[in-house]
Amino acid sequence: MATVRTVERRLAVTTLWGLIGSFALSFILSGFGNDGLIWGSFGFALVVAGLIAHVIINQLYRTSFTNGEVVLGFLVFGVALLIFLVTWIFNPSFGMMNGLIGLAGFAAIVAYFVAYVVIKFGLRGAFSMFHQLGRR
Amino acid sequence: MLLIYWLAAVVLAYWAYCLYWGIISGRMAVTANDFFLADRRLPAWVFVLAATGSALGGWVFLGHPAIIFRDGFAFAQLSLCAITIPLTGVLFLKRQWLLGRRFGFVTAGEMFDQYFRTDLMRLLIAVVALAFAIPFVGMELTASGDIIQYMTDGKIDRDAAMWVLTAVVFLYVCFGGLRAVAYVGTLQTLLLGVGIVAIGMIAYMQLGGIAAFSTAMAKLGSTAIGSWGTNAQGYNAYFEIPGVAQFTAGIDRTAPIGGMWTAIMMLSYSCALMGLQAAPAFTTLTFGARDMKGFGPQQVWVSAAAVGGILLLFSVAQGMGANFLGGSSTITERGLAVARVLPAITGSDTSTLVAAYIKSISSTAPWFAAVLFICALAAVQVMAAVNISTAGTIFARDFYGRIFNPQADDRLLKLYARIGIALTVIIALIVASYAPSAQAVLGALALGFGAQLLVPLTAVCWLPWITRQGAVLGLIVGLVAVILTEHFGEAVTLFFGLRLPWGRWPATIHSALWGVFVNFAVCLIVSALTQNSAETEHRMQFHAFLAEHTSASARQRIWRPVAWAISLVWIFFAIGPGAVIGNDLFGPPNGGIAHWRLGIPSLWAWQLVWWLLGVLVIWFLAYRMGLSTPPPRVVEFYVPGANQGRASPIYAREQWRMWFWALVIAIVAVIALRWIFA
Repeated sequence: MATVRTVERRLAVTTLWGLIGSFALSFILSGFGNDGLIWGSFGFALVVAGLIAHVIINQLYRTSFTNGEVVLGFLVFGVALLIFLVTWIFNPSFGMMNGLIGLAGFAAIVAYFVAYVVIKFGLRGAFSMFHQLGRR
Repeated sequence: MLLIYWLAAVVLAYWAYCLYWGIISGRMAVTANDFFLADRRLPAWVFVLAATGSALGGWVFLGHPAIIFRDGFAFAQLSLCAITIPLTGVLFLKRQWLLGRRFGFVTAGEMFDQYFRTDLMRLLIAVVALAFAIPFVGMELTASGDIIQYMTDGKIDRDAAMWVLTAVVFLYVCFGGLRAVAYVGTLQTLLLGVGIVAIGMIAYMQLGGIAAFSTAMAKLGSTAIGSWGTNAQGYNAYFEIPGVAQFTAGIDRTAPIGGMWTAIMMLSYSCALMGLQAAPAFTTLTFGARDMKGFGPQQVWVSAAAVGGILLLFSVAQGMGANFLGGSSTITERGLAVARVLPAITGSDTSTLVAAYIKSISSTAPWFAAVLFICALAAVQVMAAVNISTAGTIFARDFYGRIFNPQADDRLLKLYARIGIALTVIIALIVASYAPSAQAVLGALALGFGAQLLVPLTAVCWLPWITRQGAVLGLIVGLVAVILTEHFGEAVTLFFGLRLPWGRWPATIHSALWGVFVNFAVCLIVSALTQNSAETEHRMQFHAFLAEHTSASARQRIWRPVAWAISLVWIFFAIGPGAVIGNDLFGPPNGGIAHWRLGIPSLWAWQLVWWLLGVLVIWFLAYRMGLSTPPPRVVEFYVPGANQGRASPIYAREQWRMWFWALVIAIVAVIALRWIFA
């Protein structure tokens, strides 16, 4: 059974994403819906801020991302990227500005991820991690 | 139609979150104390957020901007409640927590019962708690139904929405008790704060920025437009406090000149709002805190600094801004509106103001409108949930466990707490659905009733020479004074053929202050006449323990006069008679923007200045004076079984008869209320 500390960390994480996620999604959709570069960028910035806050929570609770969080994170990112690309390709009303918003946003998230693994594992450690994963 | 789909999606996600934490908390609630107090293990950050949300809640989100819209900057002065409410916490929270930890109190009633050694006190506290909780919960839940009806243009019925939305609150509170309330309250409080900011930003954007907003206000300031006209100096009532006091027989008997928010009304209303943190629900939340680490941050940084700033910068924009966005038909007709994005809001509809803002973006960004609706719902439910949970705890501990079955085990206590929660929710919903006028009348009493606990709390935490007789009589007389200075008292006395010479809030003083004044006076006089050395010795056990853990350092003793002085000066100028200076200190309201020294109305500038000073005052009291800092010595914990309290004199064979008569009395009371207020 989960300890109180584990539950409190989970609460902190769900509270964080309950707040950040809902507003980030709203801003991103507002950006795409109205060709609003500022709103869309702000939404993606919120996602990155949420990821940074998530790492801070991990530090406070002396832990790292759980396996479930990693899987969920990659899944959400992958699905969102897929939806974005499919919409851009097949929806003629999806303009260049929307494409820019999406590309900039997803690039920012990828940049965050690279920065995170480099800072956490070091440059060589980050490469080794993928190397080891590949050998499994 | 798209809005309804988004609403449904966001509401479902919110419900999933609430139920998830309700179930997790339910699994952790093994003992009764787990259920009632989260095993006294709420971490500091959870306490900070849950306490802030439960003290401010839906009325700040929905009611505050609505009344600013109607009455202008005079009411905006009450944004400083972000300072006065935690002021109560500074005075009482640390000491209550220490007593709760040492003596094992679970409810406020237990604390007062053990301290004063009288069942009557426990009963009175339980009555106050329920009288506070039920109408308050009803009003909060009604607001949630109102918003959804408004947002969907009546496609979803108010009552149906209210019952369904409440069902989820009931479930998570019922599953997880206080832990679920606090855990869910963290997200709800954040949504509350961010929601106010977001709607305020929408108002600023629709107004064209703060410069355009100020220009519009300057134009309005030079006119007499508004529900309260102008005062003797020719200032528009939207921009001035209408004097220190107005000696009217009651706000419903004689209309105050220039508005009802006189300085003394603000002071007395602040006193009523202080009752929010003196209410039994807040005491229970305090007992649930793991340690005191959260008290100072909650009072200083979250409530005073963050919420104060949010109210003064964003709620004011929502309220006053609505006048220039089509909300006021008079202002629109006179050509002073800067945009027409809101529908005209008439006097009785002001409560829909926030919903109107949310709806104004529903065609362009329905997803955003849905998220903002959840913010409003969360704001309403955070306050309701903590009151529902406490009502259940009181039902189990102060009624069932105390009177009928002192030997009840954890399973039975939790069961009766859940029965209490169900009863509270059902009564609140029935009153809200079928007797809304009675709810409004009873709800008006809630704040006043809560404030009456300031006197016995002062006794328990600070003044050992207040006797049992003084506290009990003072409380009873205080409650009667509140009733007699509200519509409820008028209605009851008229029912018996007696017409009071005063109406509601005579001399523009809120019923809470009338009650506290009479309460204190009676308490002091009776205490002076009923001193008893044996009783004093008993009470001194508590105060000796408090003195041991809260004694001031040599430096703090030196600073004590300064603490008194800055607190009184702040109260005088921020929410007291001195606030009228702010009417034109930074430029006359009718002088136009060229004469406004800070580019905004003088009263708004005054409020911002005293908000910043108020944060300093609270910081000084909480940290410098050590009123909210952890004690240097380790607190001895309560050992279960060592302090079970006194055996109830009325327990045992009579219990079924008592249940029967309690039911009869409840039915008669409901019929009488329906008859009186029908």
